[in-house]
Amino acid sequence: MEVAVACKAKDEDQDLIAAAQRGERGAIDALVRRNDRWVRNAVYAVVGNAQLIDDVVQTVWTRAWQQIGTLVDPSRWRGWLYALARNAAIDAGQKIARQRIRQAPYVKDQYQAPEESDPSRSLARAEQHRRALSAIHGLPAIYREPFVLRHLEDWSYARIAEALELPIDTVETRLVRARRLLRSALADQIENGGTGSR
Amino acid sequence: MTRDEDNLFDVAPRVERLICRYLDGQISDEDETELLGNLDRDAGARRLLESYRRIDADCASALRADLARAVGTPGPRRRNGLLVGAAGAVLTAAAVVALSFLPSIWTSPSRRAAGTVGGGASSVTNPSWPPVFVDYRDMDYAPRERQRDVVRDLIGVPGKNEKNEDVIYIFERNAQSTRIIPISGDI
Repeated sequence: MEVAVACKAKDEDQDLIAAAQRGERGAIDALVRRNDRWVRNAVYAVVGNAQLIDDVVQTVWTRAWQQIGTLVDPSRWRGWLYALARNAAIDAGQKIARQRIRQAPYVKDQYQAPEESDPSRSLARAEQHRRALSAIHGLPAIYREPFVLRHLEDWSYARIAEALELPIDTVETRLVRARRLLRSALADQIENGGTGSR
Repeated sequence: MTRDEDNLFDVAPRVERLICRYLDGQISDEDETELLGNLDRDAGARRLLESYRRIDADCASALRADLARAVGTPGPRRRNGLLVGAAGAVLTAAAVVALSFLPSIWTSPSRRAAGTVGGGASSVTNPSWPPVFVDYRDMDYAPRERQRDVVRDLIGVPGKNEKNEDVIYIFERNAQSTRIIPISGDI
């Protein structure tokens, strides 16, 4: 059932790509609407800074609109779009680094926890979130990207593999290693029971 | 921490992989049976499953909270240096060209040179590609009233709407999605 739905969505994307390549603006609009959420999450996985997402995503869609005519094989649309997102995110990250905006670990500076009625609990949750984010963004990119896509998008291994243009086994191995590294980084937090959030 | 790491290596790589498949909802019936047998026999495997489950929950919660704060940023879009940089080449090279066929980027593709992209037998002929983006802030298209809960791009593609009026198609984002909308002087 899930596979059938995924195939149908993929076929629809390919029809839209063909229309977009003919210059139909409505098709671009539809592609944006259908793919915007995961593109945002992909950008976030690479750049690791929620504050940059809007700028980078707009750049991604602008480039996609301009360059969709260069997409020779529409079946590779997701990988192509992911590459655009990744490149734009990397550019943004490098630009920020050059501007020395990241003078300290950004998570510590920018993270604000959701408000809770109990201040002590709110502080504890904020600290747990901060540590989790710090650990995630401390992962090498090859492990961080599939991990974030898996946890934000709930994508299957196959779908992550398609976007990252990797073999499924490689995706699985990277997810195992991501968890292993996170376990080391968050050992104290895990020992103390974590947030217990689901 | 040391004890924890040691425990990690007490668990066979195969079992660790099965635990990850299980948590990711990617495990087959056969593998699940194998995993359950290992969990029955091996306390280290059970600890590893529980610690990975916590990691997944904590990380997903932190990621979603971090992202949620960035969604639906109020006010009009402000282009910072990096985005101007990213779009700069486009604007510099394209603005003059774009203005020469301002009203009909999409409606009169024949006015533009047909572009062939790709290569060989699979190349795509696309007369209206690529679209040309312009910065509309200095034109008559700047919105007079700006909505609070949307983020709008400051560049767009000139074209015609259904009523054959000149508009600029731009990306607009609200808390739910990004879309392309036409704007004109009275929006």
